[in-house]
Amino acid sequence: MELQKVLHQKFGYESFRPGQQEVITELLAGRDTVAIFPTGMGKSLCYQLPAYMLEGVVIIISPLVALMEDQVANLRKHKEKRVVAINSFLSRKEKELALSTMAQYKFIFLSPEMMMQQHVRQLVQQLHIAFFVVDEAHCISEWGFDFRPDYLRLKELFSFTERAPVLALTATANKKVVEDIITYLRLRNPHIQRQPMDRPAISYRIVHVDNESAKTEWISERLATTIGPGVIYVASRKRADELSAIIRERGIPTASYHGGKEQDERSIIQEQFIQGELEWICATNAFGMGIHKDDIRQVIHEHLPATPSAYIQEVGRAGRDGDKAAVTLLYSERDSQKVKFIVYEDLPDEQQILYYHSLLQSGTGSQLAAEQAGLSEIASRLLDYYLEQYDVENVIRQIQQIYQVKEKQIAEMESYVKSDSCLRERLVQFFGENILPAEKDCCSNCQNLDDDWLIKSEASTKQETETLQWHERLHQLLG
Amino acid sequence: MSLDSILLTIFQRLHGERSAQGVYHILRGKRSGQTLQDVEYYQVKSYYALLPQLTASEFQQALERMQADGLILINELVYVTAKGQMATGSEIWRFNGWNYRGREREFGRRLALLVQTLSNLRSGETMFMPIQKELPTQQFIKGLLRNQSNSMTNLSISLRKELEHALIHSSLSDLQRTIVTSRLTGYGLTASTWEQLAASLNVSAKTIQLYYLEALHILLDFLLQQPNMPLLTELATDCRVDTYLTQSAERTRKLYERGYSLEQIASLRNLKLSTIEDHFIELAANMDNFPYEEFVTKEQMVTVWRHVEQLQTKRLRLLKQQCPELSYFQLRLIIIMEGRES
Repeated sequence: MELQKVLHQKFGYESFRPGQQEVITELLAGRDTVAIFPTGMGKSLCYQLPAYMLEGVVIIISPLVALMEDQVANLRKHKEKRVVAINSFLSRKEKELALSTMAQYKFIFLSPEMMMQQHVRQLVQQLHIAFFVVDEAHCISEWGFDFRPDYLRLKELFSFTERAPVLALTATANKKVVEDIITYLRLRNPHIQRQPMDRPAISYRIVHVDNESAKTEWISERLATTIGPGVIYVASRKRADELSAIIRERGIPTASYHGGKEQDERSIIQEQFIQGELEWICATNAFGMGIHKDDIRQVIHEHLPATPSAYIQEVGRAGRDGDKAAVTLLYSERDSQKVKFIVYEDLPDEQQILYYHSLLQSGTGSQLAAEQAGLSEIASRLLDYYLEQYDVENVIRQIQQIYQVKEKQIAEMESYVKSDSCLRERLVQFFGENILPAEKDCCSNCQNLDDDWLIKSEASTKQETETLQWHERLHQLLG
Repeated sequence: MSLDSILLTIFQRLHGERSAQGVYHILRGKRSGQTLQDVEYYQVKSYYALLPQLTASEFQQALERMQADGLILINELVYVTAKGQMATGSEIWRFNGWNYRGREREFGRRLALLVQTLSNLRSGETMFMPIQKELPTQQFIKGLLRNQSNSMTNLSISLRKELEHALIHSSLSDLQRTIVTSRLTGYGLTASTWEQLAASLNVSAKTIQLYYLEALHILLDFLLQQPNMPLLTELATDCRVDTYLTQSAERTRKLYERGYSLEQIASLRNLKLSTIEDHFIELAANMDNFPYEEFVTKEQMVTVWRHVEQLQTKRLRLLKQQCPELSYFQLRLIIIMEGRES
């Protein structure tokens, strides 16, 4: 009863989405909880709502600054002022101010690095904490697709006998990853709430093509004849720019989106896409987090994602409004080689590990050593963590294990694109779920797709917005 | 015009007396004695800290392209070829990098957020995703709005009037007026990206960004002389540099004012004498009424200036050959003072 009232008053919803109520009830009862919700199925509400029913602050540990900023903006949008994000992007002064006034907030977002700093930890432990939230909890698992060594340190925080309950949130986690989450976060007899991974609104397609230029052709043709809004995921920033230019030439409003663009540009592109001024976005995997657009009708992958988790998250951005959405994976024979190259580039090999280790031993600074050993930033952070825990032989073994996991994940994606059984069924199987193919609009292998709804009508093309004179624009903006 | 034309302009002013790296430091706004002295010597202050985000590889690429096009020659130092001189173009940039040093962008961000906020509020929309994500910018605008007693609708109209006035009377080009307003987002109207502006205006995206940057400088300079623009003036708070001295030079200045000599300051501060001399060069470049006559005579100055004129150079080694009785420090001071007098 009470829950429903808060849901309506604070968030304006009439009813819960599947699974939310269970998570909230368990958490309010003081029990550790793992919530596995597909992207866009209302994960955030699982901590936002109970926060209003309990005394004390909610500490949210979030691995990505962009994600953090987005959650903060969202809470502020709902008129919540007692929210703060403390991360490495704050200046020292801002950080100190935020830390010294922590008690007055309801929601405190912290990056794992920040959380584990001694003085921050001490300050946090003095607070009256309602509960902890570990967002994107799969990052704790080296079996997960974006492993963050910093997350492993969180166990120090949760080992105390007397502590507030922990809510671990993730969009994708197979059994192995859930086990890791429970072990590393020291969760005690947690309630596990798993919502089905399958998204009935989405229909799946795989299209085999001969080469890169065939992909470009396919996309041009597809976009000329079918509707957006849509997202095309590509492998590199350069390709995103290139492809969006090609599509724009066909008169379809499109922009590229990637981490190489300045923040202002990214904000503008997001806003245009949400407002419907842009029909398509060509993006790297930087696009997605924090995009609140429910009516995305198509997602096209022009490259092979490195893991089933990444793939299911990216296609999961389509059709959140529950209406039909079509996703397509374009595949040509060389794509798996390419993804291997990109993935392995970030992993250090045995030679590099030994060399890096010997440099550190001889007193070389970690940054310089990483540079000399030719390690990426991710790789050196990973090694720093492991070298703290294990001797160098064991570190090599650990890294080899990670290598094998990545290899397996890519192999899974390869088997997925080459499979001739139901794509919907195959995809959720990677996460330990079993479902039956949908009776209609399932996938290209089930051969029961009806794409009439996708066809673009003549009228919907071309709606040139006339450019305003500068003073007209000012009047329209400000009156 | 483009980055190339800026680079060519600077290279020409340095007439083959500095390396490419020196120019990179100027554009990035490095606060070192050498760079601060260079901008003064060669009168390129308006380009100082113009592109604080310029990466080494972008800069390198620009150099390589210009070399390949035969616009410049690099032989440790950079020389502009005759072709390069032709290509520099007659357009005069009106930057004021020295006074803003990248902070003009904060003015741009604040303006964008204020316009978006007022535009939404006056339309009755209280929920929107801020187009500016930076916390300091958001806090600034919140603070600004909190201190207003006017209604949001009135405020919105006041801002429009101020903007209109500034855009019309501040000597911006028509193109710049279009660019500045196109970067504003509001209720039902989203800003354009650089790429989109490039396509609709038929000018390259890089060039549009430079025009925008120049427009911010022109607007900020304009606001300084305008008493009746309360909103825009507030948005410009702290965007202009207020102290031109590095902290270290400032400390040296204070000690000097208390009567210590260069040598005494060096030993007090445990710094090399040459560092303290660098500070004095910086002081000479930035202070009104720098007491240069305590270091050089009027006659010495006139002599050196005559050599500079005759030899068409400001290279110290050559000048030292002409005036062996002067120290390098004295020569540097004299050259700085020449820049300041003219």
